This record gives sequence, structure tokens and C-alpha cells, in this order.
Amino acid sequence: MKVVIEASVVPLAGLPLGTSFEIPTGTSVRDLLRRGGIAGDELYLLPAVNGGSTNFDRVLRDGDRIKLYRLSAGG
Amino acid sequence: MVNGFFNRLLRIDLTRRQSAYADIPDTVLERTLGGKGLGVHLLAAENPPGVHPLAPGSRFIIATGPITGTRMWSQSRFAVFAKSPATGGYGESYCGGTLAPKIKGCGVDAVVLEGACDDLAFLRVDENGVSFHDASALRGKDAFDTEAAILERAGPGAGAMVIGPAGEHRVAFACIKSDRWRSLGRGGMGAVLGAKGVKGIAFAGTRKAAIADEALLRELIGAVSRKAKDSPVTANYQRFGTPNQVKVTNGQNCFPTRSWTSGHFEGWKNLSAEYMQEHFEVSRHGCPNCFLQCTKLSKVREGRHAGLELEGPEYETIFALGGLNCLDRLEEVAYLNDLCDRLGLDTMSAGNVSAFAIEAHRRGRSDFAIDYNEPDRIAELLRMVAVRQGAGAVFADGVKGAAERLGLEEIAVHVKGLEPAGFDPRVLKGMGLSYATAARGACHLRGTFYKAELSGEIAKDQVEGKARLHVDYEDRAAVFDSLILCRFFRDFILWDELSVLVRASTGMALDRPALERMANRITQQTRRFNAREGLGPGSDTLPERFFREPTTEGASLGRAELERMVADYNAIREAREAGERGG
Repeated sequence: MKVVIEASVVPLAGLPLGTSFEIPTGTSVRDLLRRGGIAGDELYLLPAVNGGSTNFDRVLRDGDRIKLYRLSAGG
Repeated sequence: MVNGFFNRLLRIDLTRRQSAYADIPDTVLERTLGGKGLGVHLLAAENPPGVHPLAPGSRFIIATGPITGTRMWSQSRFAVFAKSPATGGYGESYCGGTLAPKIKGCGVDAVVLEGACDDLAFLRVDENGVSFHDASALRGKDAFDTEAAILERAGPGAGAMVIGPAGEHRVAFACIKSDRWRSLGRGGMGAVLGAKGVKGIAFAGTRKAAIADEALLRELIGAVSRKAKDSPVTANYQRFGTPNQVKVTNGQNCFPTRSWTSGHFEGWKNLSAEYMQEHFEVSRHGCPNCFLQCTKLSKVREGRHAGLELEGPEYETIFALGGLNCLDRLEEVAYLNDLCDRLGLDTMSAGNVSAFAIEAHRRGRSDFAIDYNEPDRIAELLRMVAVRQGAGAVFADGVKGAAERLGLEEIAVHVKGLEPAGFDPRVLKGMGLSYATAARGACHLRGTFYKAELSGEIAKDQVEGKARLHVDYEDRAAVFDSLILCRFFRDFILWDELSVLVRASTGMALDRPALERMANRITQQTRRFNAREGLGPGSDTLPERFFREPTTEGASLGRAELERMVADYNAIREAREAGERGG
């Protein structure tokens, strides 16, 4: 299945931005981040899938559009 | 019929010590949605044009919303509205904690205070009406002692809002306290209450207003929980609370530091959430009906303030007292936070004012000796400010008033008389638009647009097209403030959920465009109130200093950039208004 990362506030090594690419079935947002070299700092990121914020354990589906925001809680 | 309300307001004439109930017709509630919408409607209708904010004729309005007292997440919030002594224009402030359901439980949607008591008094309000009580023995007492004394006299089940000495002395940034540490912080609402001779108001209501659809509300509560469960946002609030922002804003060079000269504080790690977790005893705490538990009940472990306990410090307090004044330890911020709480001072303005006093002294314009990283001098200054004595008299009217007295207007950082929050607008340009256009002055909460810029949703230095997203943030926030919901649910309650919440509570079927129209109307009414009181479109700008001086990291904001965003913003708001009129 294929997903697309539309935007990310952190560089994701080896993952394309704006074009769809193959991921194995069962891949979660966290798995995707690890594949892009991001681990351990998830508490400062906020993922969104198809326009709505979500959590790192969300299992991705074919056609999902992903954005990775910086988490801004408070103020 | 509109549900979620009592369709009633309580009018209290302090001069005559009389009170009366008045009907609030459905037509008003349909157009305002309660809370902010109702508050600004009443303020515009009842406050005599041109009245001095601290004159007896000035109104002080308390309002709740249709979800107050229900089981909805974050329902326990209320608001106050008055002409602000800081700006001379529209003033509003919101507060969480436990008091809101006890206000609404008195069987009213709003309370309007007018006149002034001839001697210091406190009021007790319940389902049967108002009683007046002598508070002369509380004169000069701090907010903690005042609240304890009033609650003891008000009897079981009551909650209270109170002022400290700063409110009694009409300090322009005097706040109102509740539940010890909760604040109606901004715009000097404590001074308005103090000018009315009211040391506090206890509420002991237990009534509930019927809502339209309990089952639908239950369903929504479940849907929001499912969305929020396991969200990084929830985890962050629960673990760190708002101090999390210290790391985020320093990382992006927009943490106002050293009297607004820098956006990065080299000592930020000692003011961070991580430092708090390591050096304080921290436990989670929250408002009723809230799983976010963003508040941190914290106790200083060691050093000269060991044993000091407080809720906080929150991010905005840390930036203002810590960053602007270059304090090198969070314990010192906690110490000054506690002092402000007791004196009844807004920590955000207090930090801006003390940093301004430092600059004034360094430039030889003020005799009060104070420099960066001198918490004891800040404490001394704030104690004098709260009673308007000595140097305190110079700084008690905020940065604007002090700048006028000292001839330092060219370096004064405020908008309309309100000092800004902890987001530098030279980096977060949309926050410049927020500060310039928010009716109460340099406010970060009317749109919370820092979130859009810090998160990466929109580029920080983008100017073109920024106003549109800003209006969207602000509109949703205006509906939040009318219902009244906490800002921190903004990731879980989007337009669709808002629409469901309005239907479940009031019974009104309002889709997103209808809610946007209502938000536009409410926001424009706050701006019209300002125009009526002399704060016209020319006041929708930023301090000269932001245009003239880049941050030490090199971020700058051009006047033309701000003017472009403001013009776009006005065009969107005016077009919507014209659309509603059918023009």
C-alpha cells in the first residue's frame, strides 16, 4: 500500500515529501518515523493523518496523507 | 427555545445595595451563544460610552456559557468583562478551577455589577439572591487570606473570586484570584472590582440548566476522549504542562528575553519543564471534568525557597518573570509567581513591568536600582506597585503608564496598554497580527495563533495569506469562549465537534459557516466597542521597537508586513460582515 507525507517539520532521512511511496501493511506512524531516522523525541512532534491530529500508534492505511507538526501544547 | 441557559441575569447595584433579576430573551442568546458573546453584548449595551473604567458607572460583568455545569470536558470556566483600566478599551478575562458551576448554579447566565460600595465589602450570591457583607477587616489582606476568610464566612459549598492589595489600589494589572492559584489575569479586572469596593464575591449555586440533548452530549464526550486518548498532546499536558513551551520557543528563537531584545535565553534549561520535573516535587492537577490535567502542583525541593508550593509556574509566567528579567533559576520564578498571586498581580504584565524598570534604571530614567537576574529587587518593586508606594507608583499603571511618566515611550512594549505574551512577533509574524488586532491589547489567547506557527502548520515568516488562517483560529476560539471551553481542547474539538456541542447544549443547529458568522459578529463587536471608546483602527499596530530593532538572533518585522496582514485581516472580517447583511 502507498501513503504520502505532505509536510514535516523534521527531516525524514530517505523518505520522500509530497510523493507517495510503498509501506508494508501494518505500518504505524511511529514505524514510519523510525524508518525516517526519528526516534525518542516523539513527545515533541504531533502527527496528523488526513487532516486530523492523531497518535503515534495509528496504523496507516492505503492512501493516507501524513503531516508531521511540531507539538505546541500550552501558552 | 434555547437550552443550556436560565435566560436570566442578576443585576447588582452596589451603591444602593440592591439587586434584581432581568430576563435574557432567547433572541439575545441565539445571537450571542452565552459567555463571550453575551459578555460583549452586555458590555456594549450597558456600559455608558466614555465612562472611566474605575468610575462607579463602569460595569463589571460575569458570564458563563451553555456548557457550564454540564459533564462536558473543560466545562468549568467563566469569564469577566469590563472596560479595561490598562487599555481604556474592551476588557475580558477567563478562569478555570471550580468556581464556574457555582456561579451558573445561582440560576443566572450573567451577573452585572454597577455602582460602588461605600466601604470595602464582599458579596455572597446563591439561588435566592445577593447578600452584602462588611469586608473592612480584610483591607490590605493578600488574595490567599482573603479567599480563605470569605469562604469561611460564605459557608459550605461556596467558591469565591477575590482581589489582593493590588486590586484595592487599582493597579492597572491587578488580577482576580480563585482557588488560590487560578487567575482572571489580564487587563486589570482586579482594579475594576477594587474600584467598586468589592474585595470578593462568593457563589454558592447548585442549580443546573437543562440542555437540549443529553445523549448527544454523552456521545460527543466519548468521541473527544477517544480522539484525545494516546494523543501526544494529552501526554504532553499531563507530563509537562505549559512549561513544555520553554523548550519549543527557545528552539525557535521566539522566547522573549532580556526586555524583548533576544528570542533565546542562554539559561533556558533552568526554566524548562524538564528542570521543573527534576528540581520540584510535581503532581498533576486539573479542573473538574478534565483529563488533560495540565496544571502542575509543584513544591520547591531545595534552596532558599524550599517548601514553597504553588500551581505552576505556567509558561507565560516563566517567560515574563524569567526570560524578560533573565532569572537563572525556575525557583526564583516560582517565588515571584507566588508573590504575584498573593498581591493579586498579573504575572505576565508584572514581568514586563519589572523588565521595563530594569531598562529605565539602566538608562538613568528611574532611581529604583534594579538589574537583570535580581529577583529580590523585582519582589521589592512589585510589593510597592501593589500599594502604589515609592517607585511602585511609577510602575503601577503598567508599561504604558510608566513610559509616559519616564519619557521612555520609544522603548515601551505594549499594544493599546496591554503588555504582550511569550511569543516574539518578529519571529512569529502571525503573532504580530494577533497582538495588533486583539481587542484587549497584545493578547496571545484570542487566536492562540502561536500554535499554527510553532507547529509548522504555516511558515513563521509568511505574510501573504496569513490573515485567513489567523481568522480561522480566532473564530474557533471565539466560539470556545462563548460556550466556554478551554483552549487546550483545540486539537480535539474542531468545527464539526463544535457544531455538535452547540446542538447538544443549546438545541441550535449551527453548521460551520453559521458558527463562523457568529464568531465574526462577536469579534467585530469587541472592536466596535474599542472604536467607541477611542481605540480606533489606528491602534491596531505594534510597538515601534518591534519595527526598529531586530532580535539579537536577527529576526525582524517590517511595518509594511504588519500593515499588509492587518489590511488582509480587516478585509476578511468586513467582507463577512457585509455578507451577513446581504451586501
